[in-house]
Amino acid sequence: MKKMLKYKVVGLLLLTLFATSCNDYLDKQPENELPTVSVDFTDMSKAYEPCAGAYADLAKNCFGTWEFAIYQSIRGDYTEKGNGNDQPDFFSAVDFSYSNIKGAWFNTGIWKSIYGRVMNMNAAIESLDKFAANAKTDTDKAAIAHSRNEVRYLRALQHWMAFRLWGSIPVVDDNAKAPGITRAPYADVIKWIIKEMDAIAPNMEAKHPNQMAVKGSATRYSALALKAKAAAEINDWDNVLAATSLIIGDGKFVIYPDFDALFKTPGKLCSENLFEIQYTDFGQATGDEKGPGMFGPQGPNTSTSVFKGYTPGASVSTIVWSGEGKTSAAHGGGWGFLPALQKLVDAMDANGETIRKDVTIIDLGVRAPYTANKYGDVIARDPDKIETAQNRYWNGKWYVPIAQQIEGRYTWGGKNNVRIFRYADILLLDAEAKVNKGQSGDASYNLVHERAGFTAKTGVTLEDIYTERFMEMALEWGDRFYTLARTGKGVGVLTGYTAEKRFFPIPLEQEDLNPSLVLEPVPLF
Amino acid sequence: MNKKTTLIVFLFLLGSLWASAQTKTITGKVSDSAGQPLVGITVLVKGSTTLGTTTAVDGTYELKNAPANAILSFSSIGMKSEESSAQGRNVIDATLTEDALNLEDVVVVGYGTAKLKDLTSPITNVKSEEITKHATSDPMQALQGKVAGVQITNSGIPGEAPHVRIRGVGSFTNENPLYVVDGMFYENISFLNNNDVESIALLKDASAAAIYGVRAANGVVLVTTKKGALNQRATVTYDGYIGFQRATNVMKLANSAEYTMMLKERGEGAFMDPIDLSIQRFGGTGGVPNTDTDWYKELLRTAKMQNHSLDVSGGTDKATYSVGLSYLQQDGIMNAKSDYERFNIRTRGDYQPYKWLKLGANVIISNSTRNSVNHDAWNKAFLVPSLMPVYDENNTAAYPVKYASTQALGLTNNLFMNPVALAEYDYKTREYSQVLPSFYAEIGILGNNKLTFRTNYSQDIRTRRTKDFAAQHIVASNQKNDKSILKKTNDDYKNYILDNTLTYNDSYGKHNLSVMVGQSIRSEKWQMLEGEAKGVPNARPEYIYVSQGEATSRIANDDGSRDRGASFFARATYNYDSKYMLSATMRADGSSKYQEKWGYFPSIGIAWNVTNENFMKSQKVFDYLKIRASWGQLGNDKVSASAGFAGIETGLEYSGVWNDVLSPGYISQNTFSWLKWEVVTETNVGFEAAFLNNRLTADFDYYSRTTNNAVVACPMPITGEKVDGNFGKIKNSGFELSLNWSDKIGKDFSYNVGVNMSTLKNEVISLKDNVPYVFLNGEAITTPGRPINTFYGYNVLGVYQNQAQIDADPVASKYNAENTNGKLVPGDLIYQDLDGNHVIDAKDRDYLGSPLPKFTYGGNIGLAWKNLDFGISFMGVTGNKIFNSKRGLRFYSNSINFDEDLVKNRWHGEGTSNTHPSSESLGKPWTVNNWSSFFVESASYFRIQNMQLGYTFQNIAPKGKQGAKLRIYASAERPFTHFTYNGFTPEIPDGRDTQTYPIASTYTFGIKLTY
Repeated sequence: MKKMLKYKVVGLLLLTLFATSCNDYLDKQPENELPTVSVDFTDMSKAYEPCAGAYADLAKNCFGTWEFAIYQSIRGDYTEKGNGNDQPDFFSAVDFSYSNIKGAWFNTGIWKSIYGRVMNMNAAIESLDKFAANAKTDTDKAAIAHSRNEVRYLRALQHWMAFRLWGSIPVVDDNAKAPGITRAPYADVIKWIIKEMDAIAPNMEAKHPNQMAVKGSATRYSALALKAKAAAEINDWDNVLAATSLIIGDGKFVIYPDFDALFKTPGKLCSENLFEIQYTDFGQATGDEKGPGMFGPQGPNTSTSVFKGYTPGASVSTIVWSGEGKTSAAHGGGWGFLPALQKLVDAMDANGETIRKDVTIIDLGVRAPYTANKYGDVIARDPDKIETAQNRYWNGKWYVPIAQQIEGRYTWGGKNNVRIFRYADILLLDAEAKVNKGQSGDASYNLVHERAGFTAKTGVTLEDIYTERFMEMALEWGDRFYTLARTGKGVGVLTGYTAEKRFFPIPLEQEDLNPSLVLEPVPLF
Repeated sequence: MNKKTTLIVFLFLLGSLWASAQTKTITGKVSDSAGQPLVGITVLVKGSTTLGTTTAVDGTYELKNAPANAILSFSSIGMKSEESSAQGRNVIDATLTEDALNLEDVVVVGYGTAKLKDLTSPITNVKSEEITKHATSDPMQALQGKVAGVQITNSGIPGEAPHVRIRGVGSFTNENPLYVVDGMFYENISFLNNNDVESIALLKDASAAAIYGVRAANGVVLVTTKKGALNQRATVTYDGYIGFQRATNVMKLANSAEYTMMLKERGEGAFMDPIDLSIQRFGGTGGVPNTDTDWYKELLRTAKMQNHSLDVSGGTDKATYSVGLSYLQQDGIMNAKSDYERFNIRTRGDYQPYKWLKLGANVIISNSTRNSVNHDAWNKAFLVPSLMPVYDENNTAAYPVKYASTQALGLTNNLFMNPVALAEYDYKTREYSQVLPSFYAEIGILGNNKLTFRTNYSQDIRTRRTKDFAAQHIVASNQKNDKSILKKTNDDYKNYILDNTLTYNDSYGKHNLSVMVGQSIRSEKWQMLEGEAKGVPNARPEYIYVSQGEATSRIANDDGSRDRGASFFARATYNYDSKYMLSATMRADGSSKYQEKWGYFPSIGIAWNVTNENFMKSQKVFDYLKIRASWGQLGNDKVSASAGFAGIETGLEYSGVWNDVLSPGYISQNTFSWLKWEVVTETNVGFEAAFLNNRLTADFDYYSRTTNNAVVACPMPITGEKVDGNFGKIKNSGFELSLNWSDKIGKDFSYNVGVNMSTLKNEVISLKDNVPYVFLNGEAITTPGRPINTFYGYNVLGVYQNQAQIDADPVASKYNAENTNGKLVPGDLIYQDLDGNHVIDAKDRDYLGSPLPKFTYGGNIGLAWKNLDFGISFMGVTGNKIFNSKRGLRFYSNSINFDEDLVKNRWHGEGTSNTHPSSESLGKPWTVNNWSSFFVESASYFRIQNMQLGYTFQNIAPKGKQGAKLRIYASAERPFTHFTYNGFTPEIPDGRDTQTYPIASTYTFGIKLTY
């Protein structure tokens, strides 16, 4: 019996040993992972998705980051870093001590934000080309072609924003070129943007963005606005004028009469805006939202709260500071970056600004615990902490009254869209180009000037136009600095500025990643 | 038993072998050189694994069914073996002498055992006594400093497994060795009590480890749990200690007076805000705040630790058993809800119903609970100045406890938080339940069980329940939780391994051969389910349920993985007359994880026992000398199967917004690559020797390991996004030497001294083509010719002492001409301008040292006089560096506190310091934006690892129960550590110090009762 038992046991065990088929056993899909999503490039209902994705990516991962807008806007004498000693490296960006920021986290971080989007846009163009190859109807083909142009526009826009920071940058219009890419001379970057816009603008819809089926998407005029802005960087007045005259001539845009509402919720996609980055909370108190990252950081800092329900003219003493975490505080202010400086207030006063000063600057007073504003909000500061809240003036353009926001989602700046190109900006560029070419810029200039409550001027000079620009565009995207820089007027006005300091240093990390960036720029054309 | 029948079945498999059917019964007695009977000696018929017995308490044995011409071998751990022929005899007595070299010790090797003398590879076997000596929660922690070539870095967190590196770092992804506990694979053994372990064998080289194929690249640690011995009466052992732990080497930070002085020197103005606010709110004297909180003192406590274990084991002539209970409890030294508790039950039985069949089952059940708090509190304690108290009754907004807020000091960003509040409000509880059943059967097939078949099934069934709770609280707006957040995670692991092996042992004259072939399948399955909710009430622990939270806030998530492996392996060992030894292994590993399914891992080892040669008989120098060499290949499959993303990303984040209306969108990326395992090729040469009448022994090895296909995350240009690929080649090489001396003086005094040391040279051979280097966070670089993650930055030459020096320095004067912010002044660091272009730029960076120690050493001294014993062990490392990241955080804020070294040694006037910058300079971009040798410090340390004094009461049983004894002991674990680094501990695996747990010394008192 024993031998039978042993025989059986061994036999059974050997059976298990050889019965298992190895390759079946190993043939196992990974858990919880769908196979790589493959897009059905024949399904034309999805053909707009790469384009929508490019807009969303830009809104979230570039404009949605707080440091992006700060870095773009920090230079110039109308603003400073703010927020005490927090993020001290930005001091070196403000006062042009560039040796100190080559390795700063934001210098490389923003490079990655911008070029990361560029590379995604290149991939989106590849996706669109695959849809195009499958498109049967002319309607589909045209729609895809338009989407492709929109993405090219966004890609050029990103290059322009990178140009403003670093000047001589690589142009990445194909991801395959990215490894080991060299920089292009800064004028070539601009020429490439102009070339791109010349290629796409004629094929884009000649509409105001708010007339587009996909509301607010880029149109011919968005592209032309970029062309004008880019050409102005290198004083290419012919190209500026070519673009501005088309925009103005086609008459799709008008100056929005209410300079205040222009920047607030009612001014989203208004008649004046040529391009916006859009955000929303869908008008709902809870659930999904897509918020901008740039407004909060530029509000007065955290020891501030904003209360609603104040009747203009009434005494504010009834509202008592009630500290953090209490429901009576509607929202808790901002982070304290980029306060406005007395110099801007003085310049506005000297220029007799009323409407624009009122909108551009929020004056919290000198250590005043409460400031009532015309929107029915009270901005209160913790009386215990006023001593350290040194900053008095804040950017009013980025302020959205609580009444225009959804309850429960109050924040500094709300879910407002980020304005990229305004018609007023284009008009002033048009005037500047005309005067530079010996023509009269009066007409364009006065459209802007008159809205600000002034009477029309004749024979405007370049100086008039610059002043108008400084007042009109104050605290928007560092326009003060970029204007001083491109016109060569910065030296002497901006402490520590020299012509070589127009652009930030190429990030050290990027040079480490791609040693070709250290090489002399290689001409594109 | 009819062997003919068996043979017929297997004849076709293995050829003809005929054994004698004549048997007889042999008896006898085994004693030691003093004539005392020896218990538990294995008596075995040579050439058989199953035909044997062990001696009883009186040293006698009886062996039935022995072949008439059998050769009996008598062996036991610690004794020299003896062999006697039974030809013509029925009574065989034997006398065994002690074996100082333990050459007859049997060590576990993969899928089998081998005698130390037959090994061709360096295997270090650490026995239970060495492990239980240490008051540690994890058996591996007890090995620190004991084994040459093994670097163990302990963490201070209760219940946390130590970081173990065997022979350097050959992978960027995973450097943990494989742990095999009774046949089952683990990533660590922190579930085991020190008393559960019988022995730990460390397979360091390829010849030993290659049998574990694709899992073996980082070395293999074989753990055997306790088992009983044949013919042994029940032995009850209680081993327990209680004690306490105290933090040592606690670093001093600036007090309020020093902090005030530093900020005054920083430049007054806004920098003084925290000081002014502290004085305003909490009072001050002479411009110095009265408040002076030592945050570390607030966070630290004396913590208790205890361990109790009870073990009963024994055996009859056919069965052995061992059952044990153990309980460990350890409080964390952080004064918060930080502790670890573990209760283990272990049971093991081995039974031999027939001569040809052995069965055994083993179950370990481990239940443990770990409470931990947010360790970031250590970091905050470093950052937050001493200017505020722990509690502040006037902080009206604070809820529920009136903690003081850093906002009172004007420190509003979340870099600063009240450290005590952080430790209080945020905690995590992890409950582990782990069951490890294993079963084996061993069947002898050919005569005398020359061929045995063994099947082994092991399981690892594990549940981890994590409860992560952040209570509703407000300290201030930078430190609050408007609603409590609860996250519960259940992780279930169900792994099994089935191994089948056939082992054939035979001898032909002086030829000894052993062949093993095997097959194994394994499955690793993980399932995770988690739920999260906000607003969970926390008045009582019974309320902490996700379903008590707000319905709208509840989120559920799950995940899982399942990997399967199938392997075939074989090992052949051969020796001629115990002089020439050869061992070869081969393993084929199949894995479901990778695109490429199969990998092959060979190894070969040879050894020459020189002292067994006739020509060595006359020499007197060597009592023993064995020279060995091995080569083999090993794999590391703890790398992901793929990297990057080949598809598209969709959802809300990638959908466009058009005037408040959403339209779907996607982004696509193409950064994708398939990966496969890393392969290590290792060569080892070494020798083992004994001198001076076996009193001095030496083990020496040189190894060289090269990792091919190392997974390197190479950054993409521009975005810097990292894409993994099997690009790299890394080499580790070094020497290992162990020396042991043991001797007796007189009858009562014995002593031993041991040292071990190892060197490590880590070098990256190549990265990807055209990728000359890869950076890690900017401060470390990996580049060919240098160790992995070498710190990288400027060399500090000194400190500018006066303006004249600055004006004369072309670097400083150029810098000052170009920058308005942060101009260089006396007190700033001088960097070396390597390329001489008068600008400190990328090309001036230099290699500043590696986090890997070049030299590791350890040692022990043991003294015994009569029943009194004393032992001390020590260890240390040198040649490695630490990057003091905490000091580098000053670019975030100028209000960060200072460590004492920065205060005491700062430059504050010409000639005061040429190593440390001034207070003003500490916060300047020139200092904090430029990584330099100022931030790199020596990580060398020397530590007394353990000191122990014990006394043993022998023969305590009233009725002469032999071996009953009681040992009482007092022990100090890590009582002393010396290092110069300005931090709490130099033990930081990756050398980047951000928030390490301070080291604790543990003082215990214990008893061990064996009955």
